[in-house]
Amino acid sequence: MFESVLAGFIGLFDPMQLGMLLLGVLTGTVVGIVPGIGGTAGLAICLPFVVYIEPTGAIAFMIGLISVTTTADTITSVLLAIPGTSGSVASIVDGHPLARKGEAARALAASFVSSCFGGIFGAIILALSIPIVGFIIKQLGSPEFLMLTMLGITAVAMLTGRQPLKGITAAGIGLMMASVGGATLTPYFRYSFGLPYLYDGIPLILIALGLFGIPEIIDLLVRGLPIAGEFGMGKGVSEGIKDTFRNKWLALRCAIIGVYVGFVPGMGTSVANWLGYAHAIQSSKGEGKFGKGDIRGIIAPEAANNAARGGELIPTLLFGIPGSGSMALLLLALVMFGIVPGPDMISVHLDKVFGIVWSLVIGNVIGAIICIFLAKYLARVATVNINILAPFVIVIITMGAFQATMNWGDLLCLLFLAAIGWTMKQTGFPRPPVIVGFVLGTLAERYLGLSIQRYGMEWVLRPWVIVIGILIILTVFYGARYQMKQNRKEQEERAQKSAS
Amino acid sequence: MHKRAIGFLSALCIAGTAFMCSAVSSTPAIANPNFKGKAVKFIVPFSPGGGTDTFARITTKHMRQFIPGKPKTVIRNAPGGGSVIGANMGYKAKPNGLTLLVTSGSTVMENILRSKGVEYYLETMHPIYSAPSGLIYWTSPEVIKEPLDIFDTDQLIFGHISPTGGTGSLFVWAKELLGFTSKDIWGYEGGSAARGAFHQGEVNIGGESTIGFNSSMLSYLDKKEIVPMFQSGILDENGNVIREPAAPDVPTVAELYEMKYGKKPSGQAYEAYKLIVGTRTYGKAMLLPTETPAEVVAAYDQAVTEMIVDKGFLADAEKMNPGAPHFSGASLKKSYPQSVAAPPELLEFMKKVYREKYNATLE
Repeated sequence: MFESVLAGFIGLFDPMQLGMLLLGVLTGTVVGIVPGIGGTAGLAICLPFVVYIEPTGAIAFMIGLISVTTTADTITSVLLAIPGTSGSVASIVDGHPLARKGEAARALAASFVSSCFGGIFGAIILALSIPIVGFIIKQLGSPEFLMLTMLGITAVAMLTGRQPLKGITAAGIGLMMASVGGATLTPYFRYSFGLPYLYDGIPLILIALGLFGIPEIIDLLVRGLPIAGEFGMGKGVSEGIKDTFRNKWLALRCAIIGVYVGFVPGMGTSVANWLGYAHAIQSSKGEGKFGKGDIRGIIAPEAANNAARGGELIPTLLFGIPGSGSMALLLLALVMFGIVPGPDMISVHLDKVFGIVWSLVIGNVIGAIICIFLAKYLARVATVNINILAPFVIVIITMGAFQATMNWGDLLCLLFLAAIGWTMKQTGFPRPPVIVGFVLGTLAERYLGLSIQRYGMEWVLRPWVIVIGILIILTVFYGARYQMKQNRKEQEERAQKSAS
Repeated sequence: MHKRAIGFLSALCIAGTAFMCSAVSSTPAIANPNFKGKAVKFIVPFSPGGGTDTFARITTKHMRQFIPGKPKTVIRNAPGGGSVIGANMGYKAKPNGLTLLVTSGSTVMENILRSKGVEYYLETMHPIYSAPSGLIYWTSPEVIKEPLDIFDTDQLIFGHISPTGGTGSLFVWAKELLGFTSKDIWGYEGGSAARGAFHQGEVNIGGESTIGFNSSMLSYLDKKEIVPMFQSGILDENGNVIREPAAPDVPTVAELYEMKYGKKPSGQAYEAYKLIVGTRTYGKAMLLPTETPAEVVAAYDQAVTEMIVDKGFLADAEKMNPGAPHFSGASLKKSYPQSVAAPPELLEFMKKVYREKYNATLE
C-alpha cells in the first residue's frame, strides 16, 4: 500500500495536473462564495467542458473544485448569516456573532485554517481506513442512516438558541417543509395545493436565503449600523490562525467524526458540521460562550465538514455509490474516463485512489491559503455602512433565489419564507433547526420506510441503532443541561449588570 | 476604504446581473431552426449517476455536434415520483426545441398505467432517439448457484424505487410469470441507492439496466461475487423476446419459464411481461414536447440520424451497451406510440395485480 501512497503523491507533480488542480480550486472558491451555487451546481456547470481535457487533469480539476467549496461556503455564513451550503449552517451560530463583534477576519481565518486541517486529517484518516471500509459499510443500513439523521436533527435542535423546546419545534417545522412536494415512497404530491411549482418541493436555496438572509438584513437596517456595529475591524487574521492551532486536537477529533459521517450517502457535510459543533460544546464542559461568538463554534464544524468531503469519496470510489451530488458528478467523470469504481479500486487502482486523496489534501491547502488572503478584504464588508451594503445584498439574494427554478414562484416563496424567518427571529425561535430538518427530513422518511419494510419493527434492536439511540438521548440530556447552565449564567450576568 | 468596498460590491453585482441575463432563455426563430449560442436542456427525471443519467450525458455530448448551430447541451436532473415529476416537466415545457425529455422504462410504465400524478402523454410527444436497454437481475452466490435455483429458495430480498418503476415493474412481472418467491422493499432513492443496499446486504437482489451493469458490476461478475438470475431481453423486429447482445449468457425470463415448466410461456402475465420488454426497447428515449413545430422536430431527427452513424458516438455507445441498435425519429414514428400504451383488457389485468399485491393505487 505504501508504494501506492507514494505513486499517488508523485503523480501530482505533473505540471498539467497541478495546474488543473489550481484552476479547480480557484473556480471552487468563486463558486463557494456566491450563496446558492454550492459544489454540485458548480461542478455540473463545469462538467461539459472538463470532459474535453484528458482524464487525470480533469479529475484533478474536479477534486480541486470539490475540496474548496466547504471552505469558501463559510464566508457568507459568517458575514451575512446566509449558509453557503448546507454544510456550513452550524458555522453561522457562532461565526456571525463574531462578525457582529467586529471579529469577522478572525472568524474567517479560523474557519479557513480549520477547514484545511479537517481536509488534511480527513484524508489521512480516510487512507488509514481503507482496509476496514468494507466492514464499516456492512454495518450501515437504512436503520442506521435513519438514526444518524435523527442524531443530526437532535444536535441542532438542542444546541441552537437558549430554549431546546423551541429548537425542537423549529426542527419540526423544517421536517414539515420537507414534506411539501412529491412523497418519498409513492408518487403522491403533498401540500402542493395543485400548484406545479410546488411539485418539486421548496427549493433549498430559498430556505437559506429567505429564512436566514432577509431577516438579518432587515434587522441590520433597523439597527442602522454596519454588520460589525461600532466595533470596527477588531482582532484579525493572525489571531484566527493562532486560534485554530490552539484548538488543533478539537479539529482532529471533529475531522474523525466528519470522515465517518461522510460515509453515509446523502448526509455527509450537512450532518457532519452539527456533530462537530455538538462535540465542541460537549468537550468544553460548560465553559465558553457558544452561540455568542465562541471561536471553537467555528473551528469544530468547519473541520468536520471538510473531512466529510473526504469521507464521501469512499462509497463513491469503492462502490460506485455517490454520497452527494458532487460525488455523483465525479463518479460520472470517472466512468466516462473508463475508471470503473468498485473493488478493483482498492486492489488494482489503489495508486489512483491515493492520487485523488492527495489532490484533495493539496486542494484543501491551496484553497485555505487563497481564502486566508481574501479574509482581510472580505471582513471589510462587515464595516460597510449598512445603507450601502443592504441594497447590494438584497439584490444578490433575489438573483440567487431566482436561480432556483427561474420562476416567479421563487420570489414569492422567498418573501413568504422571509416573513416566517423574521417572525422566528423576533420570537426567539432558532432557524438552523429548520434548515437541518428540511435537508434531513426527506432522508429520514425514506430510511424509516425502508427500515420498516425490511425489518418490521425489529430494526430498533440492531446494535448500531441502539448505540446511536443512546447518543441521541445523551445529546438531549447534555444539551438541556448545557442550556440551563447557560441561561443561569446569563441571568446572573444581567443581574450583576443592573446592580452595578 | 468605503470606496473600495463599494467598488467590490458593484463588481459583484454587475457580474451577478450578467450571469442572470445569460441564464434566462429567450425565444428562438422557428423557420430553419438554428440553436447557435443557445443552451438545450435535457430533462432527466432521475438523480445523477444512474443508467438514464449516464446515457443522457454521454449521448448529448455527441448530439450537440449535429444539432444545427451546435448549441450547448445541459442536463437538468429532476428526480422524484418514480420519474413522473420530471416527465411532467418535460411534457409541459415550452415547445421551442430548447427542452427535451429523456425517458426510461419507468416513465413509460407510468404512462401505460396512467398512475395518479401522471400528467404527461408520451404517445403525443415526438421521439427523436431511442436506444434499447434491457435489464439484468442478479443475486448473491449465498442464495443461489444458478438461475433455476430461484424457485427453490425463500431468501430472496429485492429492493428498488417502486413496483411501477422501470426496474421494479419488470421484476414484478417476471415474478408474476415465473412464480418464484421474494420479499420486496420499495422506496430507494434511485438505482445507485438500491445497488448500495445490495453491497451493504440490506437486499440480496440487484437489478440494473445493461448500461449500468456494464459500467459498475462486471468486476463482481468476474470474481463470482454475484450470480445473474435473468434478463429482460429486448424485442427483435418481429416482436420476439431475444437476449440482448450485451448480455449473451444470461437467460431471458421467457427462456427461464421454459426451462422450469417445459413449455413456452403464454397468458396474460406473459402479455404483460412482453409489454414491459417493449417499454425497455423504447424505454431510453429522448422526446420533444407535443406542440413542437414540425421543422424543429425534423431538425432534431436529422441530427440524430447523423449522430448514430458517427464513429466517435459509436465508440462511446459500444462502451456503454455493446451491440445495441440505435433508432432515430423517422424509424420510431411507427412503432413508438404502440409500445407506450396497453390494450384496455391487459391494462385492467395489470392494474388489478398492482392494486391487490403491491398496494399501488392507480386511477
